[in-house]
Amino acid sequence: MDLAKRLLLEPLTHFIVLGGLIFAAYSALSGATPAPSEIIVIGPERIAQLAKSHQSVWRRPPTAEELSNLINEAVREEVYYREAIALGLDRNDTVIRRRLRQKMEFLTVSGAELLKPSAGELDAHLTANEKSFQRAPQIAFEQIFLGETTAPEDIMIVLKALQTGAEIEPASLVKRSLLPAVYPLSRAISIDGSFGKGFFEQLSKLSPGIWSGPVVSAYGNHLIRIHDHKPGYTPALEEIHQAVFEHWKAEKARSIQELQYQNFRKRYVVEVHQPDKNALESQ
Amino acid sequence: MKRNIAGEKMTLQKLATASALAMMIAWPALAQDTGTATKKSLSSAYTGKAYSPYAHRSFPERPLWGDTHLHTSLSMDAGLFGNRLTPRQAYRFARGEEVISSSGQAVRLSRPLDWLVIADHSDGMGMISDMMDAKPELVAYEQAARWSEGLQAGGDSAVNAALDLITTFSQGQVDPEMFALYSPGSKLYKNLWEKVVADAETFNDPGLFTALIGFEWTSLIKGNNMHRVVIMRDGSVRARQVVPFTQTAPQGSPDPRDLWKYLTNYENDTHGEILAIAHNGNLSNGIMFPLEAQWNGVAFDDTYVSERNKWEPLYEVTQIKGDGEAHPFLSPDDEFADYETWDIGNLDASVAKTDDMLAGEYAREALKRGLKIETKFGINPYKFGMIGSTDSHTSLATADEDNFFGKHSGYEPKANRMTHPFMKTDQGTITGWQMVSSGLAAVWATENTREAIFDAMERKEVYGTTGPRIAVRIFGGWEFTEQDLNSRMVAVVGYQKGSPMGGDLRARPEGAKAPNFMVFALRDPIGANLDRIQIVKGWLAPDGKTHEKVYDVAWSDDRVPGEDGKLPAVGNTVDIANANWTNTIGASELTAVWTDPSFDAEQKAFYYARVIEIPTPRWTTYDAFRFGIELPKDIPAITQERAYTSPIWYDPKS
Repeated sequence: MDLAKRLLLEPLTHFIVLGGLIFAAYSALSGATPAPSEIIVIGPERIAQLAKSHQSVWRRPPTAEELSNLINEAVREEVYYREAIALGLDRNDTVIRRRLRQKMEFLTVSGAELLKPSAGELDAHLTANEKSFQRAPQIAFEQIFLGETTAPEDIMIVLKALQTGAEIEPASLVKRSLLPAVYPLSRAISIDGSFGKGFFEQLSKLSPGIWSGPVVSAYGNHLIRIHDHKPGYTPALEEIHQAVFEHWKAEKARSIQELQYQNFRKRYVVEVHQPDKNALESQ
Repeated sequence: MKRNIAGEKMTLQKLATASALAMMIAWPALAQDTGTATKKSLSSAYTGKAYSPYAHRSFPERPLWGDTHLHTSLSMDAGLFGNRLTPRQAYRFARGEEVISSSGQAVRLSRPLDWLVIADHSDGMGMISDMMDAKPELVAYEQAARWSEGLQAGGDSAVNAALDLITTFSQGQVDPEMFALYSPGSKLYKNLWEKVVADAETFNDPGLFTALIGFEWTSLIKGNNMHRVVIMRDGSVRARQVVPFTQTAPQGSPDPRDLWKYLTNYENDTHGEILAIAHNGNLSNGIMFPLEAQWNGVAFDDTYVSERNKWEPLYEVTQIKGDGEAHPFLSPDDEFADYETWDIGNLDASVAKTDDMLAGEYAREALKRGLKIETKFGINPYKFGMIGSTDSHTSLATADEDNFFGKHSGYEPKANRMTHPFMKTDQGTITGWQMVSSGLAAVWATENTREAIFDAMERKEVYGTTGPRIAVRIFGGWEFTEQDLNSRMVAVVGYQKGSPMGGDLRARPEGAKAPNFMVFALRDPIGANLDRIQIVKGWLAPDGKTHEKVYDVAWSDDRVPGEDGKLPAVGNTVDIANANWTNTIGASELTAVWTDPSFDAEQKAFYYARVIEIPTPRWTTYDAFRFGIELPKDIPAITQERAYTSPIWYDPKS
């Protein structure tokens, strides 16, 4: 695209040209400076607000001169604001449009913040969204490490000894290890993190209370005694009341917002005119 | 610790006999058959000491893995370089979920982290992400509107906007009123901080995943890095009573003493607890660990030394922008000292590095300097434990070589990232391949909660790795024996007879000649075998000079040290073309009881363990393999990853 063409498409160019035309037309029609027709009032509250915002940035109140500048700036802003509105510059501005939409959405969503669930509503919500609140299964166990290359018959000797109540220490068969000898009630994520992938899965097949195995980890063979195996479950509402409440509220806010939108939407007939295919391609 | 019935160790034969015997004896009868209560049976039931070795234990069983230093799109630089992932996505990723990275690639950790600190830069926090969203309060300012438009346009416009923004900032030409929006004192900043805290609360799940609340204080003095990550022990009630401390005046300050004042005020006002962790001394041009004077040339005083000791219990020793344990210039006898070294200059490469700066930059030298300063002030300002963390700016805490997502979103996996200049000035160049896929922090905490993790950090029972999850324990004492290694629960003996990493050696018992250290290392369950365990000793001689020595204390494959005392290399199984290696060399677990052979009871000293893995492919090798490109010759293909423990100190006076 050459420069001239690009300039022609540039919104800024449109703005300058358009602005020029408007001002030219305006001065041609009015001839002289117009008499003031609108009043701008900068009241004590507005001035206090100006002083406060200065304070928050500079950590001190404005001097008299600074305050007078702030007021002049406020007047300037107000004048520009009114002229801009009069010219319709608030229309078709992405930033302004987005901000207005944000404000509308905020109004509905902040309304949802005040909602209180009716009796039974949270219970129903928990049932309907059970999956989001489920707790993973957990296992607690004790392990004895036998190394990577222990022969199956030797493993059986140690296992038999353990099953008949012997307490044993690391020796030729039982290897010392930094791996925790006793692992508290934990999820697969934690246990597999220490022993390698798939370890939890193997543990979950063992019967609690008795020594069994071998179970193979990333390091080698282990004999295992399961202390506790807590299956996955959905907690009762009392246990997770706050989480369910937050979840319910978020969903409520979403649905209210959607409902509100649909209500507004009903007031409009929307027509979408697709550009013809050739025009799209030539762009 | 003897635990078997017979009171002696069981050999294979005895085990076999015991099991045969036990089978002949009938199983004790049911529960109600407890026999008659006699004085004897009752007194043996209340011996005062638990028979069960699992009872009454309050020491940590396994290290909890985390990252103390992760940036999200809220950090100005992260946002500028294209990070679009929020703290919420960062938490999801850390706890093991798959996310789509800012460059549009699906990514997931090999295993979740146990905990995370999101530490976004406090200066200008949230400004860039708001610019991306064209937040009305922000784009009301001309500069912001201009940059916002550029950033939103993407491609070259975004790059140009980012560059213009950086230049404007570095020249101090930013609209102060606009910047004040993103500084303490503004309502917008307070709201943002509340959001940061609220996100941490949402993802903090005690026992399963811990989200500690924190931020990074980004002090930069003429391009010299003085950054600290700040971490709170507390939840939202206390965290919301403050906003982060910044380095920009008038609200903030780049002087660490002002940071310490902020930390003091936090604890006084909220009754909470807080700490700071410095990092990247290697980019400080010598001002991170000075010997005599502060960064501004003012001599140390009691306050400086004691406040630093109080507020900075840890140092981040390894991360993406270089490894900071040791430097070959300072440790010429240490063959492993030159690891992922970044020593061209300071943080923005505006001033080149000179040799005299190095002693104020590296952790081992700082630990030595600390001993020396302690003799003058009675307090050691550099008595720190060591951790690793990522300092990743992608919202993705990736430290594994085979899953490395780079320093910032511009360096997420793509074919040319390793040859692309990362930073370039007239003083030097850092190229993409020099990024280090490092590191992680391991914490020996009793449980996975904010309180337990923070407390472990305070007592320095933590260590760092360059990425792999190597389990390491070290205990220092006076009476460890080889026999102690045979316990099935090593920690019981360790805590009973000695001090864990981060602690002080107990008072020397009468007649004890030298301290000994019980040390264990276990490879990452899905990682490479171990080459060796070393103990690094530093000490202060009577003439006021400091010294160091690295000892090999345990190694794999029955290697025999040469006549010079040097251990032969472990070998190498890395297949560069296929980015692969095997665990056919090295050991899965190493352990030793080591006694200091040249101990002098009159000299202050510290000891820490360094564990070295066998060689494995560096991230650059995985890149070359996956993108089907040739790895340029001058780019390293192989790495030997490692773990650094916090030291254990010896003081003649204790």
